[in-house]
Amino acid sequence: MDMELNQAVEINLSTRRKMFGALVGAAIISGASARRAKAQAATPPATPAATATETRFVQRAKADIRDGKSAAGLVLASLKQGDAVVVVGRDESGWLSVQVPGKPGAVGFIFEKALVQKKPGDGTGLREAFAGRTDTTEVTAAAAAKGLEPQTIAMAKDRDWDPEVLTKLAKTRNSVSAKDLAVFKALIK
Amino acid sequence: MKTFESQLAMPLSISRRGVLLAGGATAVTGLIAISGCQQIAEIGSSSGMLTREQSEMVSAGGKAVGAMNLDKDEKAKLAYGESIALSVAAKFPLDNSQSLQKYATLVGLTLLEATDDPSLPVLFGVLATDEIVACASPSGHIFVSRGAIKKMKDESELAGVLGHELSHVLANDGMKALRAYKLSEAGSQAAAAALSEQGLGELSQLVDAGSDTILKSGYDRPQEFRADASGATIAGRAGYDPTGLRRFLEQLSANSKSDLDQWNSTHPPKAQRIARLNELPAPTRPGATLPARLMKAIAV
Repeated sequence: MDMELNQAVEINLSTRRKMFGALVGAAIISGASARRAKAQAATPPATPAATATETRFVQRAKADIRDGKSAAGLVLASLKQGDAVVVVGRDESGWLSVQVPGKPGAVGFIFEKALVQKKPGDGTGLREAFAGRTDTTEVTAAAAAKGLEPQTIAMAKDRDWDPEVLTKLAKTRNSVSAKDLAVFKALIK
Repeated sequence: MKTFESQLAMPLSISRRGVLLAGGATAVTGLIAISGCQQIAEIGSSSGMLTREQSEMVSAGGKAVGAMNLDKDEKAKLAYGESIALSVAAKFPLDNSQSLQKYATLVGLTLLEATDDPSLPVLFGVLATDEIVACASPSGHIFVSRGAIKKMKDESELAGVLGHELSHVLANDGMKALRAYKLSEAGSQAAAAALSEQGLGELSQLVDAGSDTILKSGYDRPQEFRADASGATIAGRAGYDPTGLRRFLEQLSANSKSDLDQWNSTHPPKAQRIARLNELPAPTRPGATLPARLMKAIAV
């Protein structure tokens, strides 16, 4: 019985020591955090609070990284299916902070639904229907210039359609800034 | 009791109907079925439209195509959808008013931000025609005509219409219709050969079928009813009066025989759509209607 009591006292003392240690540790960490916060306050925040970086892949044929958490706004980079994206921060909104490819240090935003964890495959099916129609330099160059798929350019050429129409729509959307949209939405609420 | 939010989350109801179009070899090509090929084969066989051999081909073809993963091929999907969008713009040119284009885009982006996928690469365009046209390609190109906007009384009606089309894009309805077309087409080697003799490649065939779906035949009724409910919900979530779509349909139904109304051929009867929209729960707060802003936009 005494032995059990002694053990209980020892455990109690041990627990207290650990608690004290934890409190001291927390105070030290807290002090360090305060100093870090003070130091951060002195300089403008470069990026949103970052978690450990993760790599994700674009699951759609197209996805844009924009300068804000909005469907409107400046396009910082246009990505295509399978492109890798480094995620540096996230919050509850679903918008992810990501590194802008080709622009070291720059951070933009993309919605999480545009990305997947595993690099998507090429898929099957429709691609077979387009085989042999888009392997010319002319078609590839025109597609790149207009931001459309090479198959679309080939189809437009076949049917004498004007692919510029779709480029105009994209220009209109990209002309809408996040501020424009915010002002427009202000009257709706 | 269903809420607006639960309406949006409703699983897509796939029609079990198969629609048979008569006419020799093209009857097989025109099997626009929304269910499996086995069912098409059974319908075709029992109706006497297909021989037993043809019926077996449809069934086997359906199984083969069913293994394809069309929806995962994003680049191909984009090219397919872009081509359909170009076919729409070839029929109805874009409206020249840049301010009207930007206005429709602002309404569209407002709705997009109210969905759970605001980075979806959708684009909005106004077509220069007096016809009542509103459609969406699988690539996310959403069109509404100046003629349709002129019939609207306020911005919430435009939000309802664009919300309906946005719902088709979000639900991937265009690719589902393509899959249905592929299921039917794959089973008909004879019809495919006939088309090949006319010099039409598979891409042309697919794009024509997709273009017909959004401009002529429409999606199947459950998809349309779901897009109505979802569109109204998105509009309400964005802050608009969610009854805008219903009010626009009521307005159009007064002239339901108009040849200029493309929705007559591509959508279920307006009375049914209005009745379904009336079944939605009443909004908990009044939404914005903004008649003056729409009138100002369309005046340019």
